[in-house]
Amino acid sequence: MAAGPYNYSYIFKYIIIGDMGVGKSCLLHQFTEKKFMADCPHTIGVEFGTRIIEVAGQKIKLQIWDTAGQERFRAVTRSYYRGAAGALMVYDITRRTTYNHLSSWLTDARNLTNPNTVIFLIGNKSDLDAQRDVTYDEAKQFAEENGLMFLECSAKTGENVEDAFLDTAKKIYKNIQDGSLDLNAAESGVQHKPSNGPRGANLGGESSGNKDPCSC
Amino acid sequence: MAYKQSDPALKLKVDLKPFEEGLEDWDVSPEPDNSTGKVASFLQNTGLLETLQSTVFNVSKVFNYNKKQVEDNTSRERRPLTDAEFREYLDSVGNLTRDTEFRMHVYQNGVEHSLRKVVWKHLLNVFPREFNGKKRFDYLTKKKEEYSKIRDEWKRLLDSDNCSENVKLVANMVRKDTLRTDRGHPLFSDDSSENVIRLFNLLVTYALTHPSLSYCQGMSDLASPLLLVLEDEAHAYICFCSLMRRLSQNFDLKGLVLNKKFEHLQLLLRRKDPEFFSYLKYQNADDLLFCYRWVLLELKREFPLDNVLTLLEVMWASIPPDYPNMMLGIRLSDLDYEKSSLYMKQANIKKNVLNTAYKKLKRKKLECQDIDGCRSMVEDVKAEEVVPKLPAPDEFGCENPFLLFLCLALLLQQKDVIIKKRMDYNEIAMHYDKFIRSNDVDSVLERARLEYSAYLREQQNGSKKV
Ligand SMILES: Nc1nc2c(ncn2[C@@H]2O[C@H](COP(=O)(O)OP(=O)(O)OP(=O)(O)O)[C@@H](O)[C@H]2O)c(=O)[nH]1
Ligand SMILES: [Mg+2]
Repeated sequence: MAAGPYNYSYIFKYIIIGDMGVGKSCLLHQFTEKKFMADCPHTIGVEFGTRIIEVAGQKIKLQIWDTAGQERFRAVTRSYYRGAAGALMVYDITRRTTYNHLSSWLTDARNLTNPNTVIFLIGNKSDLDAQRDVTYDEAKQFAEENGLMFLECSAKTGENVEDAFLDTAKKIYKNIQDGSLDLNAAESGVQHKPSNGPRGANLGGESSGNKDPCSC
Repeated sequence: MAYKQSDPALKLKVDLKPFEEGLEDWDVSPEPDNSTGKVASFLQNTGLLETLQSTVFNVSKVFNYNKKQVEDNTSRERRPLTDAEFREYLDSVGNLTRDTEFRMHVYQNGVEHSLRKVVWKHLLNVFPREFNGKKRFDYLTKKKEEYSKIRDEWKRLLDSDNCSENVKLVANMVRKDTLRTDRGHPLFSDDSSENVIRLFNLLVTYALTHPSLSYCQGMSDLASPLLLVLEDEAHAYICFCSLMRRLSQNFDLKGLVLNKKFEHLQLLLRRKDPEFFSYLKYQNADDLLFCYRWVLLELKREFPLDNVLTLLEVMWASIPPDYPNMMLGIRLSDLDYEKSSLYMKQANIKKNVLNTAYKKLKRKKLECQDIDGCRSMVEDVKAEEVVPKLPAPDEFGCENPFLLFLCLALLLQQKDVIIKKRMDYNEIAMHYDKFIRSNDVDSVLERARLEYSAYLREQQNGSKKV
């Protein structure tokens, strides 16, 4: 990878998966813009978001791939899994079918990413507790049985959204620290960007991170 | 395939005679004396005319496309088709007799907004051929009634207690997506706005009457510009059915046609810009899957909604007309067994004729390819890049070759910055996605037209040699 001055030292790739309409794009939007976009367009193929976060004093850029939920698009969306360090697997707590499909999403996530990919289960739309169709406890149990991290969130109110994205990053970072995630392995989903240039010379902000990183 | 038969209406004043020999193989017309062959007609029909009329045309210049040229080209003013101009393509009883010239005009200039309502129905092949103004009016009235009947039927069902699960499921799926389609546009912005309801009605009707396809995400994007322009639910539905005659294959579960389109796009990029293609290949991005939405929705989401209307009409005009059945017109439903079986019979006959013609052609092609194939194998060993020939217009892009050139223009627009920043696979995909709903229609169209003319020219020269 090209070396150069960056205002972050790692890039983590995330994918967001789950049935159509469970709120994947809204979660992403809430995380990157801190707003609820009720009428955000349904996703065709894939869309993206980025945000720079901080874990243990390290700046990390999240590259988030928000995939389409409709079954018909699976063949294409599967191609976007490659090299994901984190997978957010989302269902809608008010629609049981979206929960029932989790095992098939999990199979895809396991088969198409590397063994160290952190999978985080999100039960979205927690603001709609009155219409709840899936209990917290059963989802929690499912998560434990499958070794997944788990939270109920609301893209609408923002509840727990930040935590889901950040906890995933913390876990990935921990995996790097304890050596279980090999950065040099192909498709690890993590890139280390040593910031060897004087940071002050590079006026912060998103765009400067990408700016002509290679002088070779 | 859309290029069903050579069509006397396609004959142009300019006699190009691009195929002096071997025409028999192409000719699937029932009236041989009247025909120039479908590809020949096609070549004449589209950008080639512009190419030949331009006195300063120079193939190598177009290949070494540069910015200045586009600027030169853009400086030529393109004035959208006006009502008065459109009337010139009609005869005294309002029959669109000069369809080819009409399409040429639209391909070059687009259409004035107020006229779109009329013109789009023609571009989308809503009317059987040689329908005069009176017949078109009666036909629309009849189709509108037919549509209202189907729609009211499922609406009644949906409100009743004995509504089937399937109908509910479809309605829910469509509702979710219509609430998430083009809501940024003033005409769709209100939840209870008429257009949102119309979009819902149109899509549920289509899904229920086309059970083998049902509803697929993406359809709402294809339908919303139609509603915006036609301002009539039934007319938009008729246009949508007609559009889907060509595009339903994009939603096929096996994705065979979509795969083919990607294969062709790769080929085109590889041929037009080997340098960029090898860069993408090096980054493992040569599958071009980040263009998925572009191809599936024919670029509908890549431009601001108000501007994409021009791009759509120009693109539709680049495709030869494909008139519906003279007796029945557009089929509004697959469930109409009596009518549909009749239609199928006729479609099969046409297909058979086409198949034989294609087979003959393919055999010929294979013979050529065998030689090419051997040569390329030998050269592969020498580690030299042999870029395969581009398919002929009636194969290229599976009925919409011009779309590939529009995609090419979008791809090349970002080439410099992608290479300069040495973007990797992820960054490339993210970079292109940044331009969703905000690309510039005019510059993309200009560049695509240039490249397309060059391709047609090349094809013409190529087939002369054969
Ligand atoms: N009440 C409530 N509604 C939500 C929440 N998140 C999303 N929605 C609604 O659910 C619908 C679907 O949200 P999207 O984010 O578009 O769903 P998606 O998972 O991205 O769907 P696809 O792109 O089709 O796969 C939208 O109409 C949102 O308004 C939430 O936390 N609470
Ligand atoms: Mg989405």
